[in-house]
Amino acid sequence: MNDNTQNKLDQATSARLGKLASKPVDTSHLAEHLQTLMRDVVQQDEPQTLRIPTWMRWRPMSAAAMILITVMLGLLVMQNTTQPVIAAPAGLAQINHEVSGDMAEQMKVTSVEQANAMLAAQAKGAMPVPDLPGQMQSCCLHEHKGVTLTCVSLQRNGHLITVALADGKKLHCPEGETVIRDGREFCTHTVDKVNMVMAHQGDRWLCVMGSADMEELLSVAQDIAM
Amino acid sequence: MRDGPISQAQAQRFKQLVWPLMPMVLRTAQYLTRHSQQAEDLAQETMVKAMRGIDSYQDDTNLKAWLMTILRRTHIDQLRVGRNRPDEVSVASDVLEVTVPDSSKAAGEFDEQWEEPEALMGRFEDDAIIKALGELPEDIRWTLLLVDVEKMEQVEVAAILNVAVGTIKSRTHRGRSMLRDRLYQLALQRGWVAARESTP
Repeated sequence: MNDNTQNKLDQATSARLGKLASKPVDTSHLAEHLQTLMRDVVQQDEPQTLRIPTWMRWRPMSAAAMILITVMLGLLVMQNTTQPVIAAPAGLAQINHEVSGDMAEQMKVTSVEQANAMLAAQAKGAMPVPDLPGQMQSCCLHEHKGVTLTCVSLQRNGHLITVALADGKKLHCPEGETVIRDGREFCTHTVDKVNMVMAHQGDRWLCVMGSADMEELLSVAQDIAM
Repeated sequence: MRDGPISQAQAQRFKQLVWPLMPMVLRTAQYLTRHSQQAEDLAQETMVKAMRGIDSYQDDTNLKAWLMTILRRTHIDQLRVGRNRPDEVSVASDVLEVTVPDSSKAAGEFDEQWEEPEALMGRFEDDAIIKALGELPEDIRWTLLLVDVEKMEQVEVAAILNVAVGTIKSRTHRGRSMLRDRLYQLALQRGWVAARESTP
Protein backbone atom coordinates (compact mmCIF):
# COMPACT_ATOMS: atom_id res chain seq x y z
CA MET A 1 0.00 0.00 0.00
CA ASN A 2 1.41 3.34 -0.97
CA ASP A 3 1.64 6.34 1.32
CA ASN A 4 -1.07 8.22 -0.52
CA THR A 5 -3.62 5.46 0.01
CA GLN A 6 -2.56 5.11 3.64
CA ASN A 7 -2.95 8.86 4.16
CA LYS A 8 -6.42 8.81 2.67
CA LEU A 9 -7.41 5.99 5.00
CA ASP A 10 -5.98 7.83 8.01
CA GLN A 11 -7.69 11.06 7.05
CA ALA A 12 -11.04 9.32 6.63
CA THR A 13 -10.62 7.57 9.98
CA SER A 14 -9.58 10.74 11.75
CA ALA A 15 -12.41 12.72 10.20
CA ARG A 16 -14.97 10.12 11.25
CA LEU A 17 -13.61 10.02 14.79
CA GLY A 18 -13.64 13.79 14.89
CA LYS A 19 -17.38 13.77 14.37
CA LEU A 20 -17.76 12.07 17.75
CA ALA A 21 -16.72 15.32 19.39
CA SER A 22 -19.95 16.93 18.27
CA LYS A 23 -22.14 14.06 19.44
CA PRO A 24 -24.62 15.64 21.85
CA VAL A 25 -24.48 14.55 25.47
CA ASP A 26 -27.02 15.15 28.18
CA THR A 27 -25.15 16.91 30.96
CA SER A 28 -28.26 17.95 32.90
CA HIS A 29 -27.97 15.18 35.49
CA LEU A 30 -24.26 15.76 35.99
CA ALA A 31 -24.75 19.53 36.14
CA GLU A 32 -27.44 19.14 38.76
CA HIS A 33 -25.19 16.90 40.87
CA LEU A 34 -22.34 19.37 40.62
CA GLN A 35 -24.57 22.34 41.43
CA THR A 36 -25.74 20.63 44.61
CA LEU A 37 -22.21 19.68 45.53
CA MET A 38 -20.96 23.19 44.91
CA ARG A 39 -23.72 24.65 47.05
CA ASP A 40 -22.62 22.39 49.88
CA VAL A 41 -18.90 22.95 49.68
CA VAL A 42 -19.07 26.67 49.01
CA GLN A 43 -21.68 27.33 51.67
CA GLN A 44 -19.77 25.52 54.41
CA ASP A 45 -18.45 28.91 55.49
CA GLU A 46 -21.97 30.19 56.11
CA PRO A 47 -23.12 28.13 59.14
CA GLN A 48 -20.29 29.51 61.26
CA THR A 49 -21.71 32.95 60.72
CA LEU A 50 -25.18 31.74 61.53
CA ARG A 51 -24.03 30.15 64.80
CA ILE A 52 -22.93 33.53 66.16
CA PRO A 53 -25.23 34.39 69.10
CA THR A 54 -27.84 37.00 68.42
CA TRP A 55 -26.50 39.42 71.03
CA MET A 56 -23.13 39.36 69.30
CA ARG A 57 -24.73 40.17 66.03
CA TRP A 58 -26.38 43.26 67.54
CA ARG A 59 -23.02 44.74 68.45
CA PRO A 60 -21.74 45.20 64.90
CA MET A 61 -25.20 46.33 63.88
CA SER A 62 -25.18 48.96 66.63
CA ALA A 63 -21.73 50.06 65.59
CA ALA A 64 -22.88 50.30 62.00
CA ALA A 65 -25.91 52.34 63.07
CA MET A 66 -23.69 54.65 65.13
CA ILE A 67 -21.37 55.17 62.19
CA LEU A 68 -24.34 55.90 59.96
CA ILE A 69 -25.78 58.43 62.39
CA THR A 70 -22.37 60.07 62.86
CA VAL A 71 -21.90 60.34 59.13
CA MET A 72 -25.38 61.80 58.73
CA LEU A 73 -24.78 64.32 61.51
CA GLY A 74 -21.43 65.18 60.02
CA LEU A 75 -23.04 65.75 56.65
CA LEU A 76 -25.67 67.90 58.33
CA VAL A 77 -23.02 69.98 60.10
CA MET A 78 -21.00 70.26 56.93
CA GLN A 79 -24.08 71.32 55.04
CA ASN A 80 -24.80 73.95 57.68
CA THR A 81 -21.26 75.22 57.73
CA THR A 82 -20.78 75.29 54.03
CA GLN A 83 -24.11 76.96 53.29
CA PRO A 84 -23.81 80.76 53.27
CA VAL A 85 -25.38 82.72 56.10
CA ILE A 86 -27.22 85.99 55.76
CA ALA A 87 -25.54 88.97 57.33
CA ALA A 88 -27.46 90.55 60.20
CA PRO A 89 -27.57 94.36 60.02
CA ALA A 90 -27.87 94.68 63.80
CA GLY A 91 -24.76 92.61 64.35
CA LEU A 92 -22.90 94.58 61.73
CA ALA A 93 -23.93 97.85 63.37
CA GLN A 94 -22.43 96.58 66.62
CA ILE A 95 -19.19 95.77 64.82
CA ASN A 96 -19.19 99.27 63.37
CA HIS A 97 -19.52 100.71 66.86
CA GLU A 98 -16.63 98.67 68.09
CA VAL A 99 -14.39 99.47 65.14
CA SER A 100 -15.13 103.14 64.96
CA GLY A 101 -15.19 103.48 68.73
CA ASP A 102 -11.75 101.82 68.88
CA MET A 103 -13.12 99.19 71.21
CA ALA A 104 -11.91 96.20 69.27
CA GLU A 105 -8.38 94.87 69.17
CA GLN A 106 -7.30 96.94 66.24
CA MET A 107 -4.05 97.22 64.42
CA LYS A 108 -3.00 100.64 63.35
CA VAL A 109 -2.23 100.60 59.65
CA THR A 110 -1.68 103.19 56.98
CA SER A 111 -1.52 101.14 53.81
CA VAL A 112 -3.19 98.18 52.18
CA GLU A 113 0.10 96.22 52.12
CA GLN A 114 0.64 96.81 55.80
CA ALA A 115 -2.91 95.82 56.60
CA ASN A 116 -2.71 92.61 54.60
CA ALA A 117 0.64 91.66 56.11
CA MET A 118 -0.69 92.11 59.62
CA LEU A 119 -3.95 90.30 58.89
CA ALA A 120 -2.13 87.39 57.28
CA ALA A 121 0.06 87.10 60.35
CA GLN A 122 -2.98 87.13 62.60
CA ALA A 123 -5.16 84.65 60.75
CA LYS A 124 -4.46 82.38 57.88
CA GLY A 125 -6.91 82.87 55.06
CA ALA A 126 -8.17 86.23 56.19
CA MET A 127 -9.92 88.10 53.42
CA PRO A 128 -7.34 90.51 51.93
CA VAL A 129 -7.95 94.20 51.96
CA PRO A 130 -8.40 95.79 48.51
CA ASP A 131 -7.50 99.33 47.55
CA LEU A 132 -9.71 101.62 49.52
CA PRO A 133 -10.84 105.17 48.70
CA GLY A 134 -9.77 106.94 51.93
CA GLN A 135 -7.21 107.15 54.67
CA MET A 136 -6.78 103.82 56.43
CA GLN A 137 -6.81 104.07 60.21
CA SER A 138 -6.79 100.54 61.48
CA CYS A 139 -7.78 97.01 60.71
CA CYS A 140 -8.95 94.02 62.64
CA LEU A 141 -10.74 90.69 62.37
CA HIS A 142 -14.25 90.17 63.63
CA GLU A 143 -16.52 87.20 63.70
CA HIS A 144 -20.06 87.53 62.52
CA LYS A 145 -22.42 84.56 62.50
CA GLY A 146 -19.47 82.21 62.33
CA VAL A 147 -17.86 84.01 59.43
CA THR A 148 -14.61 85.92 59.77
CA LEU A 149 -14.79 89.53 58.66
CA THR A 150 -11.85 91.70 57.75
CA CYS A 151 -12.67 95.12 59.03
CA VAL A 152 -10.92 98.34 58.13
CA SER A 153 -11.54 101.72 59.62
CA LEU A 154 -11.38 104.41 56.98
CA GLN A 155 -11.31 108.18 57.18
CA ARG A 156 -13.01 109.89 54.25
CA ASN A 157 -14.41 113.37 53.91
CA GLY A 158 -14.43 113.75 57.64
CA HIS A 159 -16.37 110.58 58.23
CA LEU A 160 -15.17 107.49 59.93
CA ILE A 161 -16.28 104.60 57.79
CA THR A 162 -16.01 100.91 58.48
CA VAL A 163 -15.40 98.58 55.57
CA ALA A 164 -16.07 94.94 56.25
CA LEU A 165 -15.12 92.15 53.86
CA ALA A 166 -15.91 88.46 53.95
CA ASP A 167 -15.90 85.34 51.84
CA GLY A 168 -18.87 85.70 49.49
CA LYS A 169 -19.48 81.95 49.63
CA LYS A 170 -20.05 82.14 53.36
CA LEU A 171 -21.89 85.40 53.81
CA HIS A 172 -24.74 86.88 51.79
CA CYS A 173 -26.59 90.18 51.93
CA PRO A 174 -29.93 90.38 53.72
CA GLU A 175 -32.91 91.62 51.72
CA GLY A 176 -33.08 95.39 51.74
CA GLU A 177 -33.50 98.43 49.54
CA THR A 178 -31.64 97.80 46.34
CA VAL A 179 -29.60 100.48 44.63
CA ILE A 180 -28.00 100.08 41.22
CA ARG A 181 -24.85 102.14 40.53
CA ASP A 182 -22.76 101.71 37.39
CA GLY A 183 -24.39 98.35 36.83
CA ARG A 184 -23.50 97.11 40.29
CA GLU A 185 -26.17 96.17 42.75
CA PHE A 186 -26.07 97.34 46.33
CA CYS A 187 -28.50 96.85 49.14
CA THR A 188 -28.88 99.39 51.89
CA HIS A 189 -29.86 99.12 55.56
CA THR A 190 -29.99 101.41 58.49
CA VAL A 191 -29.83 100.11 62.06
CA ASP A 192 -29.19 102.18 65.19
CA LYS A 193 -28.33 105.22 63.09
CA VAL A 194 -25.74 103.23 61.26
CA ASN A 195 -26.11 103.29 57.51
CA MET A 196 -24.95 100.26 55.59
CA VAL A 197 -24.29 99.57 51.96
CA MET A 198 -23.72 95.92 51.14
CA ALA A 199 -22.71 94.23 47.96
CA HIS A 200 -22.12 90.66 46.96
CA GLN A 201 -20.04 89.99 43.94
CA GLY A 202 -18.18 86.94 42.93
CA ASP A 203 -16.48 85.47 45.93
CA ARG A 204 -16.63 88.58 48.03
CA TRP A 205 -19.11 90.15 50.35
CA LEU A 206 -18.70 93.80 51.19
CA CYS A 207 -20.27 96.12 53.70
CA VAL A 208 -19.51 99.82 53.98
CA MET A 209 -21.07 101.32 57.07
CA GLY A 210 -20.93 104.28 59.34
CA SER A 211 -22.75 107.39 60.37
CA ALA A 212 -22.09 109.03 56.99
CA ASP A 213 -25.06 109.38 54.71
CA MET A 214 -26.03 106.66 52.32
CA GLU A 215 -24.71 108.50 49.25
CA GLU A 216 -21.28 108.84 50.80
CA LEU A 217 -21.25 105.16 51.68
CA LEU A 218 -22.49 104.24 48.23
CA SER A 219 -19.68 106.28 46.75
CA VAL A 220 -17.11 104.44 48.85
CA ALA A 221 -18.63 101.07 47.97
CA GLN A 222 -18.58 101.96 44.31
CA ASP A 223 -14.90 102.81 44.47
CA ILE A 224 -13.92 99.47 45.96
CA ALA A 225 -12.97 97.02 43.27
CA MET A 226 -14.49 93.65 43.98
CA MET B 1 -6.90 16.60 47.10
CA ARG B 2 -8.45 18.23 50.15
CA ASP B 3 -12.12 17.71 50.96
CA GLY B 4 -12.68 20.98 52.79
CA PRO B 5 -14.82 23.87 51.62
CA ILE B 6 -13.85 25.89 48.63
CA SER B 7 -13.99 29.64 48.43
CA GLN B 8 -16.46 31.65 46.42
CA ALA B 9 -13.62 32.80 44.19
CA GLN B 10 -12.55 29.23 43.48
CA ALA B 11 -16.12 28.22 42.71
CA GLN B 12 -16.52 31.20 40.44
CA ARG B 13 -13.28 30.43 38.57
CA PHE B 14 -14.29 26.80 38.20
CA LYS B 15 -17.69 27.81 36.83
CA GLN B 16 -16.15 30.27 34.45
CA LEU B 17 -13.38 28.05 33.10
CA VAL B 18 -14.16 24.38 33.60
CA TRP B 19 -17.94 24.27 33.60
CA PRO B 20 -18.21 24.89 29.83
CA LEU B 21 -16.02 21.83 29.22
CA MET B 22 -18.42 19.52 31.05
CA PRO B 23 -19.87 18.04 27.81
CA MET B 24 -16.37 17.15 26.64
CA VAL B 25 -15.58 15.45 29.95
CA LEU B 26 -18.81 13.47 30.01
CA ARG B 27 -18.55 12.51 26.36
CA THR B 28 -14.98 11.29 26.74
CA ALA B 29 -15.99 9.39 29.88
CA GLN B 30 -18.76 7.71 27.90
CA TYR B 31 -16.35 6.70 25.13
CA LEU B 32 -13.96 5.36 27.74
CA THR B 33 -16.36 3.39 29.89
CA ARG B 34 -19.19 2.66 27.40
CA HIS B 35 -21.47 2.66 30.43
CA SER B 36 -23.69 5.64 31.07
CA GLN B 37 -23.70 5.46 34.89
CA GLN B 38 -19.98 4.77 35.11
CA ALA B 39 -19.34 7.56 32.66
CA GLU B 40 -21.31 9.96 34.81
CA ASP B 41 -19.44 8.84 37.94
CA LEU B 42 -16.13 9.30 36.17
CA ALA B 43 -17.09 12.70 34.80
CA GLN B 44 -18.42 13.84 38.17
CA GLU B 45 -15.30 12.77 40.04
CA THR B 46 -13.19 14.49 37.42
CA MET B 47 -15.15 17.72 37.67
CA VAL B 48 -15.04 17.68 41.47
CA LYS B 49 -11.27 17.19 41.40
CA ALA B 50 -11.00 20.03 38.91
CA MET B 51 -13.11 22.24 41.16
CA ARG B 52 -11.04 21.52 44.25
CA GLY B 53 -7.81 21.79 42.33
CA ILE B 54 -8.73 24.86 40.33
CA ASP B 55 -5.88 26.82 41.95
CA SER B 56 -3.38 24.44 40.35
CA TYR B 57 -4.55 25.49 36.91
CA GLN B 58 -2.42 28.31 35.59
CA ASP B 59 -3.96 30.82 33.22
CA ASP B 60 -2.55 30.86 29.72
CA THR B 61 -1.92 27.12 29.81
CA ASN B 62 -4.00 24.52 28.02
CA LEU B 63 -7.15 24.10 30.09
CA LYS B 64 -8.39 21.18 28.01
CA ALA B 65 -5.11 19.32 28.51
CA TRP B 66 -5.22 20.09 32.24
CA LEU B 67 -8.74 18.71 32.52
CA MET B 68 -8.01 15.66 30.38
CA THR B 69 -5.04 14.83 32.60
CA ILE B 70 -7.36 14.84 35.61
CA LEU B 71 -9.85 12.69 33.73
CA ARG B 72 -7.21 10.16 32.78
CA ARG B 73 -5.83 9.90 36.31
CA THR B 74 -9.32 9.56 37.72
CA HIS B 75 -10.10 6.85 35.20
CA ILE B 76 -6.94 4.95 36.12
CA ASP B 77 -7.82 5.26 39.82
CA GLN B 78 -11.31 3.92 39.20
CA LEU B 79 -9.97 1.01 37.16
CA ARG B 80 -7.56 0.18 39.97
CA VAL B 81 -10.31 -0.11 42.54
CA GLY B 82 -12.43 -2.17 40.21
CA ARG B 83 -14.93 0.44 39.13
CA ASN B 84 -15.58 1.24 35.49
CA ARG B 85 -14.65 -2.16 34.20
CA PRO B 86 -14.63 -1.96 30.44
CA ASP B 87 -16.43 -5.27 30.13
CA GLU B 88 -19.66 -3.73 31.40
CA VAL B 89 -21.19 -2.48 28.21
CA SER B 90 -24.43 -0.62 27.97
CA VAL B 91 -23.69 2.27 25.65
CA ALA B 92 -23.82 1.09 22.05
CA SER B 93 -25.06 -2.29 23.20
CA ASP B 94 -27.39 -2.44 20.26
CA VAL B 95 -24.51 -2.53 17.86
CA LEU B 96 -23.82 -5.87 16.26
CA GLU B 97 -21.27 -7.93 18.05
CA VAL B 98 -18.09 -7.88 16.09
CA THR B 99 -15.67 -10.74 16.02
CA VAL B 100 -12.50 -9.32 17.45
CA PRO B 101 -9.68 -9.95 15.02
CA ASP B 102 -6.99 -12.34 16.02
CA SER B 103 -4.49 -10.31 18.00
CA SER B 104 -1.65 -12.15 16.33
CA LYS B 105 -2.56 -10.55 13.04
CA ALA B 106 -1.04 -7.19 12.29
CA ALA B 107 -3.15 -4.04 12.45
CA GLY B 108 -4.33 -2.84 9.07
CA GLU B 109 -5.13 -6.31 7.87
CA PHE B 110 -8.02 -4.98 5.81
CA ASP B 111 -6.53 -1.66 4.80
CA GLU B 112 -5.88 -2.88 1.25
CA GLN B 113 -9.57 -3.63 0.84
CA TRP B 114 -10.89 -0.18 1.76
CA GLU B 115 -12.30 1.45 -1.33
CA GLU B 116 -13.63 4.99 -0.99
CA PRO B 117 -12.76 5.06 2.72
CA GLU B 118 -14.52 8.36 3.37
CA ALA B 119 -17.83 7.09 2.01
CA LEU B 120 -17.62 3.81 3.88
CA MET B 121 -16.60 5.50 7.13
CA GLY B 122 -19.57 7.81 6.79
CA ARG B 123 -21.96 4.85 6.77
CA PHE B 124 -21.11 3.81 10.32
CA GLU B 125 -23.30 5.28 13.01
CA ASP B 126 -21.67 6.83 16.07
CA ASP B 127 -22.43 3.89 18.32
CA ALA B 128 -20.61 1.51 16.00
CA ILE B 129 -17.56 3.72 16.02
CA ILE B 130 -17.71 4.07 19.80
CA LYS B 131 -18.01 0.34 20.27
CA ALA B 132 -15.08 -0.34 17.96
CA LEU B 133 -13.10 2.31 19.78
CA GLY B 134 -13.96 0.68 23.09
CA GLU B 135 -12.48 -2.57 21.95
CA LEU B 136 -9.08 -1.06 21.43
CA PRO B 137 -6.40 -1.31 24.13
CA GLU B 138 -6.59 1.42 26.75
CA ASP B 139 -3.50 3.36 25.66
CA ILE B 140 -4.52 3.27 21.99
CA ARG B 141 -8.08 4.30 22.79
CA TRP B 142 -6.89 7.27 24.86
CA THR B 143 -4.59 8.31 22.05
CA LEU B 144 -7.35 8.27 19.42
CA LEU B 145 -9.77 10.03 21.76
CA LEU B 146 -7.36 12.87 22.30
CA VAL B 147 -5.75 13.09 18.85
CA ASP B 148 -8.66 12.32 16.55
CA VAL B 149 -11.80 13.02 18.56
CA GLU B 150 -10.66 16.05 20.54
CA LYS B 151 -8.15 17.12 17.86
CA MET B 152 -5.45 17.89 20.39
CA GLU B 153 -1.84 18.40 19.37
CA GLN B 154 0.37 15.33 19.61
CA VAL B 155 2.71 17.19 21.95
CA GLU B 156 -0.18 17.91 24.32
CA VAL B 157 -1.38 14.33 24.13
CA ALA B 158 2.13 13.09 24.85
CA ALA B 159 2.15 15.26 27.99
CA ILE B 160 -1.24 14.04 29.11
CA LEU B 161 -0.40 10.38 28.57
CA ASN B 162 3.12 10.89 29.85
CA VAL B 163 4.83 9.30 26.85
CA ALA B 164 7.09 10.53 24.04
CA VAL B 165 5.62 12.28 21.02
CA GLY B 166 6.98 9.48 18.83
CA THR B 167 4.94 7.00 20.85
CA ILE B 168 1.81 9.05 20.21
CA LYS B 169 2.53 9.08 16.48
CA SER B 170 2.94 5.33 16.30
CA ARG B 171 -0.06 4.72 18.56
CA THR B 172 -2.18 6.98 16.40
CA HIS B 173 -1.21 5.17 13.23
CA ARG B 174 -1.66 1.76 14.76
CA GLY B 175 -4.89 2.70 16.49
CA ARG B 176 -6.51 3.98 13.32
CA SER B 177 -5.59 0.74 11.52
CA MET B 178 -6.98 -1.35 14.38
CA LEU B 179 -10.18 0.63 14.35
CA ARG B 180 -10.54 0.21 10.60
CA ASP B 181 -10.06 -3.54 10.93
CA ARG B 182 -12.98 -3.74 13.33
CA LEU B 183 -15.14 -1.49 11.24
CA TYR B 184 -14.34 -3.36 8.06
CA GLN B 185 -15.43 -6.59 9.67
CA LEU B 186 -18.65 -4.92 10.69
CA ALA B 187 -19.10 -3.69 7.12
CA LEU B 188 -18.63 -7.25 5.95
CA GLN B 189 -21.26 -8.49 8.39
CA ARG B 190 -23.64 -5.83 7.24
CA GLY B 191 -22.96 -6.69 3.62
CA TRP B 192 -21.69 -3.24 2.79
CA VAL B 193 -18.55 -4.73 1.28
CA ALA B 194 -17.94 -8.07 -0.38
CA ALA B 195 -15.55 -10.53 1.16
CA ARG B 196 -12.39 -11.09 -0.78
CA GLU B 197 -8.98 -12.47 -0.23
CA SER B 198 -6.60 -10.03 1.35
CA THR B 199 -3.29 -9.37 -0.31
CA PRO B 200 -0.58 -11.44 1.36
